[in-house]
Amino acid sequence: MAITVTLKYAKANRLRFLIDASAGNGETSAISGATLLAAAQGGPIKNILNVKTQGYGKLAAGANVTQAIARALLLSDDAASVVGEKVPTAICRVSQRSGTGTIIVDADVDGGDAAMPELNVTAVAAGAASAYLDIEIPGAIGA
Amino acid sequence: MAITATLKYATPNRLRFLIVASVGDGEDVDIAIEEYAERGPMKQLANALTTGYGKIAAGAELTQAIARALLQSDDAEAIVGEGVSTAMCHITGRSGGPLVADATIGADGATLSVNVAAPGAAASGYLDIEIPGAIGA
Repeated sequence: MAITVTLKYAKANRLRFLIDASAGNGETSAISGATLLAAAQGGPIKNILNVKTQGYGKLAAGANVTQAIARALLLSDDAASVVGEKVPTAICRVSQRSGTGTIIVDADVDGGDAAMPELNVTAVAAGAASAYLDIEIPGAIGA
Repeated sequence: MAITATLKYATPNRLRFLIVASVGDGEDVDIAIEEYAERGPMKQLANALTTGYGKIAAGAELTQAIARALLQSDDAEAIVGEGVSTAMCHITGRSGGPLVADATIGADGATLSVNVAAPGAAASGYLDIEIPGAIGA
């Protein structure tokens, strides 16, 4: 009765995690901003995660991260208006590997201090499931 | 009562298949990479076991761990090596129930393949096998 998240691949523009849900039915796990930052090899992903400490695009250093900002940075949701035009932002893709459950992902604020974005993965249907979660910066040079 | 995989797009770094599962309920299909990779990084990767690739020696026995490292970039750095291009599979549903994809060793136990299954209802979707960051489309 657990959902696990394991880093499988890390480059400057791409992180791949294996998500393994043993039961489904809403079991969920957060991938914290600190976990993402530790996995990031540098480049745009690292810059995105350091948004509060050093700013990013339109977002000034020191500003609190909101869910709208987290979604803009990690899901490219309204990225042009929130982060700025032509500023690299990430997208997340889930590709299921096994099972009858369904795994979904969303971005949110990490913890109470609104310092970093994080990702939440959830196995929404009944049944075990595994999937790869890719966090990537499309079109950036390098793997 | 069948699941089909039809090649729709092919470049040196990317293969796209249309998967159509008429029934679901666990029906599955194996896609042998060597049958579709024509050149470039995808071809080199498909030939990993015959010509060697990164840390993988020519003639090595194909295991699911190696298949996952080559085709899903799953622990690729440890198994294939740093800076060696490896692929990732992505499934995008088009209609119906879910589709799942995993790297496997094929029915004969020796063919680098992607297995796609429809564990629920009838379904269709696209399977992309792509090598991120490689030059070319």
